[in-house]
Amino acid sequence: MKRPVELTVNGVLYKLEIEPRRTLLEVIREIIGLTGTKRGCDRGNCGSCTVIMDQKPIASCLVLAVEAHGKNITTIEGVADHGHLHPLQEAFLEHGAIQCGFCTPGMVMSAKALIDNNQAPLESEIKEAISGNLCRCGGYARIVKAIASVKAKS
Amino acid sequence: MNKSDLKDYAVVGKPIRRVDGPAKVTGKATYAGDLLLPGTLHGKILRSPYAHARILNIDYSRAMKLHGVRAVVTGRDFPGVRYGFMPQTRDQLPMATDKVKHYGEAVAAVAAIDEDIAEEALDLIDVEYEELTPVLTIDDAMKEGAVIIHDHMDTNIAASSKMHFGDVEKGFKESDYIREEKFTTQRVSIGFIEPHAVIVNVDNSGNVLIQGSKQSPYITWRHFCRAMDLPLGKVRIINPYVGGGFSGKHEALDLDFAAAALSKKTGFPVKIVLSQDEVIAAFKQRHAKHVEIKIGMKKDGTLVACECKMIAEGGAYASVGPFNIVIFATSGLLLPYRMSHFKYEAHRVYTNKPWCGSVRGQSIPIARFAFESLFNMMIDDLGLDQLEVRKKNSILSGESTINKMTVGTAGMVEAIEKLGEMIGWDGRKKKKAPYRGIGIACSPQVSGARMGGHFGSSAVVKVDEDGGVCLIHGGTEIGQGCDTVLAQMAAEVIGVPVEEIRQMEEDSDVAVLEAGMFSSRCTFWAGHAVKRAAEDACQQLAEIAAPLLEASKDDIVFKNKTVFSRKNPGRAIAFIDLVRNAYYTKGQPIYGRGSYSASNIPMPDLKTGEGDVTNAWAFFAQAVEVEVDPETGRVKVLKSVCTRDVGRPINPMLLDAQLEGGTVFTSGQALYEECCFDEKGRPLQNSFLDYKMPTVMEAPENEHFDIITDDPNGPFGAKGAGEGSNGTTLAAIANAVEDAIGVRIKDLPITPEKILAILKQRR
Ligand code: FES
Ligand code: FES
Repeated sequence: MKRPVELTVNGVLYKLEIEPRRTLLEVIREIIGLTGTKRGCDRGNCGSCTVIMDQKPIASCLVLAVEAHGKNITTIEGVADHGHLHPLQEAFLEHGAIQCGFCTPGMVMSAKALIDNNQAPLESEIKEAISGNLCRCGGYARIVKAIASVKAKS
Repeated sequence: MNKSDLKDYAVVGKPIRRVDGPAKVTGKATYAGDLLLPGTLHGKILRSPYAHARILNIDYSRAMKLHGVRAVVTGRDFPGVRYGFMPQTRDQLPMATDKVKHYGEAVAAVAAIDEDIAEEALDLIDVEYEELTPVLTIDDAMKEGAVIIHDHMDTNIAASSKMHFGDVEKGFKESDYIREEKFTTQRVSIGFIEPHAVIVNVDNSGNVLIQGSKQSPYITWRHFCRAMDLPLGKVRIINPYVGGGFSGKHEALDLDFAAAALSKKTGFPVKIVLSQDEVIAAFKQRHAKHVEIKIGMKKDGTLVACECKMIAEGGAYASVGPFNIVIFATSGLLLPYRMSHFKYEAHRVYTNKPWCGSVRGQSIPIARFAFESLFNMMIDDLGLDQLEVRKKNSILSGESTINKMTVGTAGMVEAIEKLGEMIGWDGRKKKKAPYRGIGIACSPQVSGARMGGHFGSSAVVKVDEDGGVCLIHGGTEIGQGCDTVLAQMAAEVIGVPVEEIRQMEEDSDVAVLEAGMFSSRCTFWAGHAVKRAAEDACQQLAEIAAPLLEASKDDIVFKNKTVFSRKNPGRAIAFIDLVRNAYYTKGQPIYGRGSYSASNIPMPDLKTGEGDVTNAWAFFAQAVEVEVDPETGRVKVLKSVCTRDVGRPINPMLLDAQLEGGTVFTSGQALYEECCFDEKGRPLQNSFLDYKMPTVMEAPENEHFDIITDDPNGPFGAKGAGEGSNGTTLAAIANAVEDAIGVRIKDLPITPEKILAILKQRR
C-alpha cells in the first residue's frame, strides 16, 4: 500500500506516493532521480549514502522514506550553489581528497553536517565525523586535511 | 623533489587538480549503478549455498509464475565455452552447469520488473544438489587421493612455476650466514565500496551493449565474447566511472553473462547490481600463501642467494593465478636487490573457495613481506644497519638481474638514503620509546609487465577547428587518475591548458580500449600512446605553420596556445589561427594518432622465469612507525614515509594520494583483515560490519619524496608507480611491530590476540 510522503530535497518539495518499505536512499536515487547519493552496502556500514536530514548526517539506506515525511533533506547535488562549489568541495579538489569518487558524496555530506554545526572542529572531531565513511582507495588523510582547511579559512 | 629537478614543463610534473574531480565532488559522475535505459528490467542471481556440490536439477517453473517475473536463465542457457586468462587455464563458465565449486557461485538468474520481485522469485527456484566433500586448504588440495575439483583435470594444481638461476647450493656454501623461515598470509577481500554492477541490452539483431563497472573493459569484452561464442564486433562495451577496482573488476562476471542472457530472452535491457553481501562472500579475494624462504648472505650483509617455495591457495578458478606465481618471483623477489643465485618453486592450487587473482599490488606485497621480513631479521642477527645493508645490495642503474631483467634507471640507493634522513634514522636508537617501532622495507614496481596477448596502447588526438582538443585513450578512470595524467601529457605537447582537453568514456566501437588497468601500466603505456598522438597532431600542424613562420617544421614550438619557431620566438601565431588555417585554408582536419607496443621486450618465459617484462622499473622505500598498546595488543600505524624513484611523477599529488591509499589498504591485511570460512567452506563474513577494513581512525600521517631519474624509456621520464606502496607496507609494518615488541610474527594478520599472547608469555 503506497503512502503519501512529502520530502523537501535540496529545497524542492516532492509530493510522492511511496511503499512503506522503500528506503530514503531508494527514493532519492530511483524516484527523485538524484544518483549522486551512492549505495555501497545498503546496511549502514559504509556511509556512501549519507545525506543531511534536518541538519544531521544520516545513512539514507537505514531510513524509510515514510519516516522522512515532512523533512528537509540535502543531498550532494544540493551542496554547490548554482554551479559555485561549496568551500568543502573546493577543498576536496585542492587537497587531492578524491580518487574513485564513490565515497566522495558521503564524505562531503558528513563533513558538511559537521562544519555547518561546528565552525572550528578539532581534528579529532573531523575524524569522528567521517569515521562511518569507508574509503577503500584509502584517501583518509587528505580528506581530513581538506575538511580542516575549510575550518581554517572560515 | 629538489628544486633543480623541476624541468621547464608547463603542466607535466605539477600537482594539478584532477579533471574528474568536479563531476565526482558534486555527485554528477555516473557509475554503472546509476544507469537506466528505457524499459530496464532488474536482475538477481541465485547463488549456491554449498562450496562443492553437484547440481542434479533446477526447476524454476514456480518462479516464472510470479507476477512481474520476465525470465529465468541457468547455466544451460550459455554455449558451454570456458573462458580464462590463458588457454591452459580456461576453467570458468558464465554460470555453473553441473557442479558448483564455491559458495555463492551463480546457478540461476531472474529478470523482473523490479528488484523486489526478482529477489522474491529467487526463493521460488528449486535446485537439487548433491553435496560433495569441500576442498578447503592447501593440504586438502595437495594430499594423496585428494578430491579433485575440476572434472577435466587430474590434480588440484592449476599452475606451477620453477626457476633456477645461478647455483643456489653453491651460493649457500659461499654464504657466511643462512636463515630460513616460513611465512603465511591470509585471504583478504578486495573491498571496493562500489559493488559490481552492469546494465546490458541485446537488440533485435543480437548486438550486445554492456555498460558496467569495469576496471579493464578490454578483458571483460574478450572474456565475454569467448564465453558467449560471439565475434568481438557483436559486443560493444562502454565504461562509465568505476568506484574502485584494485584488480577486482577485470574479468567478465556472472552478472554480465546473466544480464545478457536475460536481456536476450526478454528483449529488454537488464540491470544487475550486486549487494556487498554477495561481493564479500563470493567474489575475488587475495590468495592465501605459504612461503618458505631461505636467504644466504656474507657477514657484511651482502646478499648471495635466495631460495623460495611458495604455495598459493586460490579458490575455484585459476584467474590470473598462473601469472601471480611467476610475478611473485620476478617482480617480488628478484628485485630490488642484487643476488647471484636464486631458486624458486611455486604452485597455485584450486580449492572450493571464492577464486583469487590479483589484488592491488598483485603478488608483490606478499613476496616483499616474506623477503623483507627475513632480510630484516638477518640484518639484526648480524648486528648490521638496516639501511646500510639495503643500500649496499640495491640494484643500480644499468644493471641486470640474474634472470636477465634489465633495469634502466634505478634510484633505490638514493631513495633509501633520503628515507634515513627523513625519519632521523641515525639518532633514533637513543630515544626509542617503549612499544614504539620503526620498520623499513623496499620494493620494485614494474611499469606494466608485458605478459602476452594484446598488450599495446593507442590514442587519438583530434583538434577541432576552433582549437579544442579531444583526447581519446584507453585508460579507464578507476580512481588512479589516468584521465588527469594523460590530459597533462597531451596538454604539455600541444601547449594548451589541461581544462581545454576533453575526454570520453572507453568504448570498444568508437574509442579505443587499453589492454587493461593493472600492473601500474597506464601512465607508462597509455602515456606513450597519448604523447605520440599529440605529437602526431602537432607534426601535422607544424607543417602548415612552417611556411607561415618562415621556419623549419622541426623548429616549431607549441606553447601557451601559441605557435612559434624556437629560433625566433618573437614571431608567433595563435594556436587557434593555425588550426583555422589547417581546416579552412588547407581543408585539412587534424587527427593525431599514437601507439605503444613495447615490442622490444623479449616476453618472459613463464616456465623458466627468464626474460624482461618491462621497459622501466620504479623503486620504493618506506618506513612506518607503529605503536603497540600493551594492554589491548592493538597496533596503530602512526606515520608512513615513502621515498620513491618513479622516474618523474606526472602529477605528484595524485601519486601521493594513491600511494597513501595503498598503505591504508595494505595495513588492513597486515593487522586485521582476513576472510574466514567454516568447515563447509561457507564464508563467515558477508558485510562490512563483519569484514572490518581501515577507517579514518587507522590512517597514518604521510610524507613523500621523489628521486627524479627521468627514465629515458618513459613518457616525460615517468615510470609505472601506482602500486608501489603496496609492495612495501606489509613488510614495513611487520618489521615495525618486531622493532616495537621484540618478537617477530610471521603469520598475517598481526592481530591483537597474537601480540597479547606474546606479551603475556614474556611477563
Ligand atoms: S549504503 Fe548506506 S551505509 Fe552503505
Ligand atoms: S575515493 Fe574511492 S572509495 Fe574513497
